[in-house]
Amino acid sequence: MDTNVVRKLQRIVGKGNVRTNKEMLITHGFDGTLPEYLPEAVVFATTTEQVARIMEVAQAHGIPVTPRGAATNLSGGTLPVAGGIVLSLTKMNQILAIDTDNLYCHVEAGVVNQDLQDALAGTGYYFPPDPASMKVCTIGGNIAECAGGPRCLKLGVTRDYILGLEVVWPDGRVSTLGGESAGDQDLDLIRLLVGSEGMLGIITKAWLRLKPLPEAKRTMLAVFDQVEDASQTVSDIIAKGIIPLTLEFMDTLLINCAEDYAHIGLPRDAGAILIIEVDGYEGELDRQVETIRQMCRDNRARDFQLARSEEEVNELWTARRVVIGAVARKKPAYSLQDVTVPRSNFPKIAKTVLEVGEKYDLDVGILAHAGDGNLHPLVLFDARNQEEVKLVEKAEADICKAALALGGTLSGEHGIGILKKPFLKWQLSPKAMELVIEIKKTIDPNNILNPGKMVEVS
Amino acid sequence: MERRIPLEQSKIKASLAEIVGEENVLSEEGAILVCPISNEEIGRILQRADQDGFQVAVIGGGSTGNRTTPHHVKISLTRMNKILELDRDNMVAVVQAGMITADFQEELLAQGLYFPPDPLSRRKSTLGANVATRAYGPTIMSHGETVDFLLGLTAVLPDGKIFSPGGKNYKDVTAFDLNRIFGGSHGRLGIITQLIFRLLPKPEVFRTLVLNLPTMKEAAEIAAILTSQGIIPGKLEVLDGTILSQLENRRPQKMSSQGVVLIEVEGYQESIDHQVDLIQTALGGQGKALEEIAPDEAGELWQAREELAWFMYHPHGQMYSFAIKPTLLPATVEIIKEAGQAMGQPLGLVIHGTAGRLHPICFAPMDEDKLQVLTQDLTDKITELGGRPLKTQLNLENHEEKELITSLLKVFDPKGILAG
Repeated sequence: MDTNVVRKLQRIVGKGNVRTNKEMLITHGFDGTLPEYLPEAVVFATTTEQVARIMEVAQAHGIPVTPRGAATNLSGGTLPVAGGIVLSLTKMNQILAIDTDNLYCHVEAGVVNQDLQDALAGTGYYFPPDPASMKVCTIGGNIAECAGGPRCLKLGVTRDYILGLEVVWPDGRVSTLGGESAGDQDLDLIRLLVGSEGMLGIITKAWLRLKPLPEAKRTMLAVFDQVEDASQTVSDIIAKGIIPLTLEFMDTLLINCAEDYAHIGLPRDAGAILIIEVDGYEGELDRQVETIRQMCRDNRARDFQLARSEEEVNELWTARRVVIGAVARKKPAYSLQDVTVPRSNFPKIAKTVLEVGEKYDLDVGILAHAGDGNLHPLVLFDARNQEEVKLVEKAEADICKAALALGGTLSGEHGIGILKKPFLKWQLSPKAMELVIEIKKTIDPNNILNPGKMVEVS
Repeated sequence: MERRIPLEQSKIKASLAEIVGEENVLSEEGAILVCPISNEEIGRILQRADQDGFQVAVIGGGSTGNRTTPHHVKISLTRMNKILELDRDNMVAVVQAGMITADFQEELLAQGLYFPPDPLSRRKSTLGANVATRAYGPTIMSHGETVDFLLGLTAVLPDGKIFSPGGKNYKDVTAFDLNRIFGGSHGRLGIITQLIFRLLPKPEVFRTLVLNLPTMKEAAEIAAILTSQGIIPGKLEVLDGTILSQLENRRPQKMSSQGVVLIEVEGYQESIDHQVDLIQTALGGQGKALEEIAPDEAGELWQAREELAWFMYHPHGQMYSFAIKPTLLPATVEIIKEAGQAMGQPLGLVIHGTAGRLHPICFAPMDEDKLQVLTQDLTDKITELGGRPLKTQLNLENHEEKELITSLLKVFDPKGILAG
């Protein structure tokens, strides 16, 4: 990078916060996906003003900027594909206010999701969006990708918890949208920004909605021999008018990977398991548990357990959260997809995913937030094996096409980034594509902010 | 961008009649009103507008008054008012945008399904308009606003193309949110014709509770206490005597005081009493005044206050919207009361939920200067307290994001065919 530019950046954030050494460039050139790129500089901002001035410098010199939180995203959203500056928000990690009387908190974008949860522990309130990466991921990243997690069917997604945003636009202008309470009724720029993958603006602060903790919760584990039976149970529970807090699905491949790591006694020979939770007032939960138990029985569940302690609940959830990492024991690489279908089509897509695995003779597993029809098919492979890589690409394409054919969408929570960019035209009509590109060009005419993601703008 | 109608009204009427049939083109207050029945008809109307150089404005149920000017052609979706699909397996409804909100809600309840967002205007307002104006009601805290239930839609774009972003998927982050960007678009991005809403199962039990307080400030305090205790009932609304008195002899006896708190709890049979107890406990001494309304009376109570929607958007009055933290509601109520006194004209007040959105309403027609003073007074004092005025329309005068919004509108409507 031009030393003149480096100096300008140093003057904004201080010398220590502009790094150009190889180690920094490499560690900030990859994310939760496989590809790697090399930026020209990694810049750490500590204030909104700094972010704004960095964008001004970037504009003046035509340097691409890739905003970055913890970079746990699974679509390549934080890869600096065009080089340039990686702008890290991780040092903007202050929780500015927690106001439980008024049901909101005010945070900087670099606050780690778990840190916010911890700060709220004991207050009687919580921030529901809990993506599996919550121990590491940042609120800014959660907003940019509209992160989901296992509780979305009942509690919604990140978008549903945004009261206000502070954003730095690509030209360095700063806006405050919304605030600590309520919302305007004109064009919804907040909802446009949520899930915009760091392409329209850099989120620097957010006002987030808090929820009071429910009185009680019940956690259940249901074990099935057949994937179809587990899938059908999902539909049946919802058809009964129950809105479970979570309804997580794991098939045999993943059960075994999770058990290899966590050793909690998950049934290795099961076809699929469901982790089911309901929450609410204490008095209303027993009947729901019974209804769910009945639904499981009706669908040939071979075992049904109600967790009896906090410990048992935590064990189950640890197993669930580590499962993606745990697959590394089987094969060194995995393809993780994020297709979502209308829930009634969940059994069909689950079946298709496994058939695709058989077709290409690949190890395939399914992890799903079954209640919202959001699947994470995992295809395991060795990235050094070029043959396998080609087959994996075919498998991914087949799965995406199958999901779309069932009225689904390419991504329920991970975003398009670069991984799903080639498939986008299968889902978006030409008009929709045109609008996406025009919106991007309108807000970022010089294509400075996170270029190369989602669509080709040129 | 002002577009004059270069053709005579009669010629425009004739060309519209070719599209929708003569009986569906009407004259209303000097403007042309056209009532299409399909996306294709609307597409052709918009293409006609481009060719002949007139502007088009979509109108809803007319509950917020009609802001279009006579030289626009008004499109009403009154003939596109049906539920197209009720998908119980996926808990979604596909419904035409011209359906009246209350009709939709009642049809669903009859089938054991629940669509909570309930603006005061629900008996007149259309679903499409509720999305376009980001409408909400007393379920705002417990369930959210209309757009929170939106999964997808169909809109006819200004170039006549039929556009259907989103779908039935509960989670969808593919590309930008081209679906929810129509929320708050006030008819300027396209004409919404169909909506895909997620639904909830109908709660087993509903119970209505009412509190009559001697002053509006005390009523606001009740609301703030409940919020700060983490109690968020299904519906919560605070209404003051001034606005309730507008109902005259239709004012329910059970809403007789100067400050009325209206609550509805919803849920399971086993826990409904518990919910009421929690409210009672939170309110301490004032909990004694909590009155439960018999189920057959409850419906009437909620319905009676829907007439207030007319007053909120009264053509001769002025309605304000402010956002403020719930704990500051009582102090804000004081400010509003004093502002009214200074004007010599009490202001009505409606507070939906404790989302902190409140609507002071001035009923008496006032001259411009007095209105300016009132507006400035309220805005200054509430802002000083920590609140802020809310934008309820897509009005770009003095808007901080004027340039950005103008350019986004241009992306969808480069020729300026749609009027707000």
